[in-house]
Amino acid sequence: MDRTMELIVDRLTKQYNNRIAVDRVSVKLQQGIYGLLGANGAGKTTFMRMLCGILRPTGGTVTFDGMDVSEEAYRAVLGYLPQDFGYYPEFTAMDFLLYLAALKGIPKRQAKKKAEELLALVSLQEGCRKKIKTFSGGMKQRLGIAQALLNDPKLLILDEPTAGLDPKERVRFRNLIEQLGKDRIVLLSTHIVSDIEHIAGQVLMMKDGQMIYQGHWDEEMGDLEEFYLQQFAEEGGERSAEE
Amino acid sequence: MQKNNLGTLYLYELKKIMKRRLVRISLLICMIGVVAVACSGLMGEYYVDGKLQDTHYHMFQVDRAYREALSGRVVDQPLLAEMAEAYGRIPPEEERFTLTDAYQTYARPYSAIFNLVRAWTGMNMEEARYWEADEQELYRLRQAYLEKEWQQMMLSEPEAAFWREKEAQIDRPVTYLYCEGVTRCVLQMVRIISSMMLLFVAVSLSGVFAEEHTRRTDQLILTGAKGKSTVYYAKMLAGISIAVLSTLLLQMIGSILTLCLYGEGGYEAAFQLAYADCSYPLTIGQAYLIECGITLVTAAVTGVLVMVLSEALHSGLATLAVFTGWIIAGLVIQIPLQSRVFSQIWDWMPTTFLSVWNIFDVRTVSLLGHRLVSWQIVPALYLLGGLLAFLAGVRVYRRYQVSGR
Repeated sequence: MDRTMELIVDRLTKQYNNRIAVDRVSVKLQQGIYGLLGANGAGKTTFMRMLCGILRPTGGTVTFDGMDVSEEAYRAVLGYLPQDFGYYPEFTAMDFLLYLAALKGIPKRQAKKKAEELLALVSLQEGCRKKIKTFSGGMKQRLGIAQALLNDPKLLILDEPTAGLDPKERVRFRNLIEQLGKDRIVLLSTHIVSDIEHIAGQVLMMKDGQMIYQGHWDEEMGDLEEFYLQQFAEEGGERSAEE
Repeated sequence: MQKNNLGTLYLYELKKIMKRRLVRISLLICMIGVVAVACSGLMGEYYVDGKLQDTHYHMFQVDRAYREALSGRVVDQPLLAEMAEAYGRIPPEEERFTLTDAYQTYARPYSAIFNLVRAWTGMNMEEARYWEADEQELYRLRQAYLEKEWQQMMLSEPEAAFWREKEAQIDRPVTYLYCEGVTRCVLQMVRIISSMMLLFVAVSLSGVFAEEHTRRTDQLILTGAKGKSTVYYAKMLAGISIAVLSTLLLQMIGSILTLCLYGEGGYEAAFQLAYADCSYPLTIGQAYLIECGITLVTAAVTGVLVMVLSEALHSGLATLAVFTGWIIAGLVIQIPLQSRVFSQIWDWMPTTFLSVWNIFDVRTVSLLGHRLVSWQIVPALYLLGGLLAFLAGVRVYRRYQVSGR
């Protein structure tokens, strides 16, 4: 894996009429796990969608190792798990992964092998022939993670990946992310500060579309949750508006 | 380097469409509809004054035997004279002459020729019964009838001249052949199959793009390496395949069943035996192949239009509503022939075009010194329109952004 991989976000902006959802965000991400924190409406999902090329920014650029976000080559190294993860209820888990592998340009034979590996990784190998509509919320979420890893992405973007998982699954998932962060850039957003405390080497914090904190966080710096709450204290906690 | 995977994606797109229960049920209903219409002519009974006269099936068998006896005969003076002589035996005072023994015994065996004379000349029943058979007069009356039709259709003089030339190319005297099966295909089946096709295409393809948005799978697709290019083509190809193959299936069921029930053969008979109003020198078999080909082109182009609309509206239901409204408008709205251009354009719409009278319409188009008839120009326009819609769809698809959820 390339040790110099770099995602450069330069003055990224998204404006809807008179509301700025993301305001001139500039960050440089290198190999490792980045936790993105922010209240509802802070702009996390909008920011992540722009990083994935499915939402056109009003201004600014996103490049990965020189590739622009709009290029096919960029999408070839991207893995994405959206917050509102959609699926085909009549497809089996295996079909679903093979379809998405085809979408990612993976040859058929290689795709089958990779799908089997990933189903085992997320403990879904036994249910691989079952229709997705019969899956529990946690199983669907694990399938979502599996699809994001199909192309061995160098850049893995996970929007609220632990939503819908029970505590046991969350712990297992955190361990999995920890492994994945060893040879790629992983950016995950969450409301749950403890998820980030445990696995993220770097913390990004968004508020009102702006990146208000970015940097390393360790125990000596104090309690991350306390710091997080302090940042939003002025507004009396979380906003309820949707992103 | 990623593989294009168009073939694999195409198969998955086919699977996505066919996995929908609504699609499978709609196809089944269409198939049942085609079978029912094909059989309907032979079902039921014939009553006069509340008294059962015969079954439709038996009546058809009797007529078929008479027509087969006439098959291969040239419609010339001797045959016309035989027909006139047979119809002359019916007592003149009888109003419901088909109930008389004279009709059943002498005239009915010639009813196919009698009906042909009526269709070619526009004579009513009484006029035809007392017509003094004359081969030259038959063709003169046909020409007069056609001239009158052309005038009503607001044809220009060059158009009328074009059709006079075509009429002159038809072999005379015409040879009668038994062609009930293929005639029913040409006149009836194309209309039924096209109606079924339009509804099925609208139902089955309105969700191809829209459902990706409502299911929120669009985010996964668009972040895939091939998600902004190859997938569009795979979806379009799959949708076109479903539209064309389902139409082909309905055509096969309808044609085979009709030919089995009403008798196959007669494909080489003059098209004018089945449809008198068209003067183009075609056989019935050729005319049916033209209809089938145009129906398949229409299915493909309609499929493209439905899918592009579903991507533009992001709603399968809205797409279905718009398209169903268009189909209904095609059934109920008729633009007067006096508004020649609007009437012709309206009749060329995919939702109205597929009927023998529109496909073989006498209104023509002059293009680069060539006079083109409907069945020549309309498929070309459909393909061009389909291509433009396809390209517009690429643009709409690539510009889509996931936001506001």
